[in-house]
Parts: sequence; structure tokens; C-alpha cells
Amino acid sequence: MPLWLLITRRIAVMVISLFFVALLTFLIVNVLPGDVATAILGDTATPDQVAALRGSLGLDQPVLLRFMKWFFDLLQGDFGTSLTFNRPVGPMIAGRLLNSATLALICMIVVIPVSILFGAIAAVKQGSLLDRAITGLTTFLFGMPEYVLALGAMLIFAIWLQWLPGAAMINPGESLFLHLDTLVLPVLVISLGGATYIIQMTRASMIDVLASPYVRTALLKGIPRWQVILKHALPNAMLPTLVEIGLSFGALLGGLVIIETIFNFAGIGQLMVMAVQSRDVPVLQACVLVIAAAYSLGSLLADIASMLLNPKLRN
Amino acid sequence: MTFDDKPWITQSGHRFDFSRRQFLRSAASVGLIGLGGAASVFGARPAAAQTPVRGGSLTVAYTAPVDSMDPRVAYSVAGQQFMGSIFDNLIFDNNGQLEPMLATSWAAENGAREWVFNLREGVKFHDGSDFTSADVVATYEMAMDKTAGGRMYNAAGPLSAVTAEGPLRVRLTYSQPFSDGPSAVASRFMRILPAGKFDQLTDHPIGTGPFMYKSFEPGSSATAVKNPNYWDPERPYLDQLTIVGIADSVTQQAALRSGNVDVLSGIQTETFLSLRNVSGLIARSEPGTNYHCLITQINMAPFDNLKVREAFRYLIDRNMLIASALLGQGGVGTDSPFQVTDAYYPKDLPLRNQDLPRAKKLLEDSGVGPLNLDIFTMSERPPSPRIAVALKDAASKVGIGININDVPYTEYAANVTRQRPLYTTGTFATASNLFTNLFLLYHSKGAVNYSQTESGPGVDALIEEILATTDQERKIEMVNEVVSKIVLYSEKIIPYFMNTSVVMNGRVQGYTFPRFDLIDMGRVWVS
Repeated sequence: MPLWLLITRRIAVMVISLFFVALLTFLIVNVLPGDVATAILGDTATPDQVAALRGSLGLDQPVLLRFMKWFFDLLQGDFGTSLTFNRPVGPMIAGRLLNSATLALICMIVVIPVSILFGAIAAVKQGSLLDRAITGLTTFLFGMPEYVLALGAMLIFAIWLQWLPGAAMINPGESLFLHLDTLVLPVLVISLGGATYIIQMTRASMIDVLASPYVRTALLKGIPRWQVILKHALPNAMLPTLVEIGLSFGALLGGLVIIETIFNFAGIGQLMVMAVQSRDVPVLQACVLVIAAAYSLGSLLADIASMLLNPKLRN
Repeated sequence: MTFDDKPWITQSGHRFDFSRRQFLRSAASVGLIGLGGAASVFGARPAAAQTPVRGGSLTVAYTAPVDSMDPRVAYSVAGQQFMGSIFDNLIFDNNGQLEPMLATSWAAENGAREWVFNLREGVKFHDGSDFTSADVVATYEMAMDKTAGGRMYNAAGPLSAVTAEGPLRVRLTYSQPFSDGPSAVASRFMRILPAGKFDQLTDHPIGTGPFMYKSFEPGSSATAVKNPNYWDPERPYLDQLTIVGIADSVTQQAALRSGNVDVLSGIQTETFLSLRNVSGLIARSEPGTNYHCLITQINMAPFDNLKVREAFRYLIDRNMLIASALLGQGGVGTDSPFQVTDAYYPKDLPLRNQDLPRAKKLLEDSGVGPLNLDIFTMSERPPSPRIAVALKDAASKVGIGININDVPYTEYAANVTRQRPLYTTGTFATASNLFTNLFLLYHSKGAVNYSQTESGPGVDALIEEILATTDQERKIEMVNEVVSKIVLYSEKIIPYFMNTSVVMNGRVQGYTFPRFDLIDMGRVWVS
């Protein structure tokens, strides 16, 4: 099958998936007890006050009707209006998305070379004390919830040692790059969490490749070991790792919810948490859709890269 | 028998003499009550007056972020604080003392059924437009609109009409004599909005306050800058004010210690205790007006039975609850919105504390069978779930089964309040006006009387009479009478009052403790 057709089919599947993600999110939020009217007016409002606000926000319309209206507005590029803040959702999430994407990108820039380096070293030194230390540490960090890492890092570096700012607070309109010191702790925590899987993946893949006949042949031919590792083994071992990296970028955006909440970082994850708490459906829909799209896009790019590198997968 | 000689605590069926004064003294000594003296223990600022310095910026963190740019919607303390910096009221409530703000003078007419306000001349909104009576009329008409009024609705009292009598004079007419009119006008919800510009509020709020809107990141932070044309030429001192929301205690501490924020306000006791001895920080915990309620819905079984309600009042060990839930940073609740030291609390009325044999006897006398009840609470409103836990433990000792349900706030607001017989509430605060403290909470038509039932024989009529009277002595007598009824009959059990805790760095000055309302940010400065 031609590559373009495969890609077109994947994009079509992605669009359909996103539609169902949006529909499911809408239905789930509507099944949850309470809505934005009760969230706005609180428990001290009388039932008729809540009913009046519900009517003025259009929440008395049938769920599917509201979804279809939201969907057709979306097709015209309109994410709707926040029910809580009465502001257009598009600009609300744009700045947040930029912040989160920048944070995720910085993390990837840190994670990729470090993970590949440590994974390769562990594989080359397989069975050594260094390999065991790297494997043990990555297994430990892999099992450690991100919020524990985040709180631990904040406690040590921001409260006890006071080396770094504890909260990653960025004022609206300000560039992230003006506050790089505030990003150190979030990047450290995300990178520690994200690197573990890639290190283990690289290590396993490298061990397989290093045991392959062509590597042995190259070594027997007298090619220096470092040259065999860097020029022959590592590029081949990278194929599954690169696919994993593509997938992890999308997952990283979704996984920022916890980190952004703990570090008070004005990203899309923090906005999503707020939208859930206040039952602000249009904001929540937009956040979920953007994160799902990023995940799907990462997956698509990983698939395309795999197909380009391995023609067998095209069939 | 004098007030201080009254035996008022009974434990395990044995009455013993323990005066209120003795209790306060001993509770304070073991840290059960955060009396004013706590300030000196935890590092109060020097008393010497200093000349305020102009300029600088201040960042204040609250547990929940600013929730709206619209005063009709804003409800979080951070949101109300920000609104209070952007907008002015007609009258400023300076911890119970009413001071002129946009109104320079006011007077009651027609037996306090009408209040007339003379407005300040030359005041301008942030967009340069003039403040006039039309803005007051538009705002108060909005407050009478159930649909559009939002949080403003009901906040100004039983209002029936508002009329302009010239560009700088306004008349508020009430449906009954209302001596508390000026206090209600000073309420945190009654900010004066610009007429004809209500729709712009969410994008760019325009008020007459000491600060002007600069930016808002929903769910995160809001920033305002100095209003150079503020009607009080002396204030504000700060050039910029930022209010942020930080939910997590560790992040709050890290943010303060690393200089991200200057003030942590309304923090949990654990955070306060962690920071109180940190050098360079000023930590204060003072008796506050915030409290949580345990609601026993009068219009639902089994609490439609007075003896069951009374039995529940004797179940909770209030002193233990203050020690465990508030870590000593609070005072004993009186089942009324007035603390024991308040003149409105009757001097000869004994406080209740745990008395399990008495509770058991009351339950037996009530005639209801074995009880198995669900209680609903919210971890999002700490430490109110501790009330549920304390109740469950105590109830099991008198044969009542209690099942605790911890629900999110939105579910609580939608499906629990007014619909379940037993639940803890979010945070309530004693206000400086009796309309809020009595009418809204205890009158059968009060919005926050969840049972919508009279809170004791004759209480509705008494509350209406209290609101009408201008005789302060008579008013105190009548409030005492109402309180002595509601502590027995009403749906609300109030086991504690929480201290207000603030921690700030040493450069913050003029940050006074609010007794009833919010901090006036126009008076804060940084050294």
C-alpha cells in the first residue's frame, strides 16, 4: 500500500477518534453530579436561583443538542465561551498550550540525549556495577509517582536548600524564558519520570543489537569498539526508541496535569483541573481535545517514522 | 448566679464547675484557642508607626485562585479580595466600623425603612467616566434581580426600590424597617459597578477602586496596577498587586520562602505551624470569624424530632475537635454565629460540649428507633470532614451508625445541601451585619436556612424586629433571645471557630487582620 494512503487512513482514524473523545468527554461531564450553575452559585444559592442561571447558560437544553451546537461551532474554529469566566475559550487555552508545549519540549530536549546516553552505557557495560546502578535507579524512579517526586524535589531544593523557586509562576503575557529558573524543578521532575522508560528501552534494544552477528563480525574485523557502538549498533537500536519518544511527547502533555498543579504552572493541565472542578464543559472539551490531538499526532508521527525506517511495516 | 460562676460543662453525667473564663484561660494556655496574644508568640510586627513607602509590588497567595472578574460571580476569598481592590462600596466596613467610601454620609428616614446616601463628588471610574447616582441605581437594581444578580442578590438586605435624587444622592427603600442598611451596603458583595458596562466586566473590570485591572489568567493569577486617580490621594501605596491561587501546602511554603509570593493568606493550620518559626517571616494566627456547620435538616427525619437534634449537639467533643482538626488554632463553637465573647451571645447561656449519657437519654426519649445515617462532607473544605469523623466516633458510643460520604464540592452543592438530612457545610463567616448573621441563616425565608423552617418558636418575628430596631440595647436583648432559641432548635451545629492565619515576609507592612471583611489592599505597602 502506498505510504500516502496509509497516512491518509491514519489521519482519518485520528479525526474520528477525536470526535468520539469529545463526545465521550461531553457525556461523562454531564453524567457527573452538579453543573457549572451549581459551581458558580455554590451551596448557599436557592434552587430557583440555580434554575434561573441554568436557563441563562443554556444548560436546560438536551445534552446532545448542546454537543452538536458545540461541535458545529468547533468546525468553524470556535471553541465556544467559558461558562465560568464568560471569555472565549480559544485565547484562554492558546497561551496555556504554548506554556505546556514549551515545558514539554524543554523536557524532551533534556530527556532524549540523557536517556539514550545512559541506556547505551548500561547496555555496553551490561552486568557491571554501573549497569546495575542505572537499572536499579530507573526501576525505582519508574515506580515512583510523579507527585511524590515533585513534592520531594520541592521540599529539598526549594524549602530546605532554597536553591530554586518552588512555584513555577508565570504572569500572563510574560515569556517563559524570562523565568527559566522557575522551570528547573518541573523539568527535573518530568525528566526523571520520562527518562526511565527510554533508558530501559534503549538498554534492552542495545543489548539485542550488540549480541547480533553483524556487530560481532565488525568487531572481529578489527573495527574499534567505540566505532562499532556509535556507528553501527546505536543507530539500529534507536528504531524502537524513536517510536517511543514520538509517543511520549503526546503522553507528556497529558501527564503535565499533576506537575502543573503542584508547581502552580499556568499550563493546559492546570486549566483542565480547574475546568473539571467548575464543570466548565467548553474549557474542558477544548483541553481534552488539544491533549488528545497532541497524543494522536505524536502517535501518527511515530508510525510514519517507523514505516519510513522499516518498509515491512507498510504492509 | 453570675456569668463566670455558671457551671457549663458537663462530662460523663457528672456536672462540675468550670467557668467560661476559666475555660478560656486554660484553653489558651494549652493552645486550644488562638487568642490575640498568639500574635506576640508568633512574631507580631513592632507597634511603632512607620511612614508608608510608595511603590513596589505585592504578591498574595490564597488557597483557591481568583474565580472571576465579575463581582456578581466572584466567591473565593481571592476573588472577593481582587474585586475589593478594583471596586469600591458605598461604605467601607473597617472591621465593624463603617467609614465613608463612595458615600460621604448617610441617614435613615421613615423609621429606617429608607436610607439616603450622599455620594462623593469627582470620583471617576478607571475608564475616565464619572461616578454618579446612575451607577448606584444600576448596581442595586441588579442586586434585586434574582437571575442577573448572582452573589449580589439578597446581599443588600430586603431591598424593594432604589432611586436617584440627583446625580449625587440615592435613596434605598426596604420592604421593612432595616436598621442594618449601612452594614449590608458595606458587604463584600455590594461593589459599585459602572452602569451600562456590566457586560464588559468579565473581560476588563472597570471600577472606582484603588487598583486598576491589568491581567487575569483564569485558575492561576490576577494582577492590578495602581489607580493614579483614586479619590483618596494618599492611597494606594503599592504600584502593583498580584493575587495567585496555590492549593498545595508544600508549594505555598516553597513559594513564600523562595520569594515567589509575599503573603500567604487563609492558609491551613498545618502550613501556618510549619512556617511560624521560620526566620524572616511574620506568622500570625488570630481568632477568626470563619466556621463550619454540621447541618441536621429540620424538615427531614430523624431531625424533625427536636430531641434527636438536641442529642446530636451533645455528641461532638468540641475541645478535642479544636485540638485535632485545628491543631489548637481555633475557638469553641456556640451553635450560633456569635462567639462566646460576643455581646450578642447571651452571658448566662451555657456552652455545650460532649455529654454522651445525656445524648443517649435524649435519643431514647425521642422515640425514634436505632439510627443508621449517612453524613456527607467535603475534603475540598478542610477540616470539615473532621467533624464527620468526630461525630461518627461519638455516635457509635451511643448506638448510632454513621456512614461518611466524602463528595466533591459540585456534587455537594447539587445533591446534598437541602436534600440530605445530615451534612457538614463549606466555610461560613460571621458578618458584621445581623441581616446576614440572623435573617439569611435562621429566618425561615433566609437563603441559607437550608431547612426553610423557623429556627425556633417566634424566631422569625424576633429577627424581623431586630432588623427594624435602631435601639442598640434592645437589639442586643432580642439577639440574645434569638440565640438562646437557635442553639436549641436550629438546624446548625457549630462546633468551632477557626483562627485566621497569615504568614508574610518582613517587607510587607500595613497588612491588618480582617475581623469581618477583607484586607484593604489600598493601605498595604512594602518596605
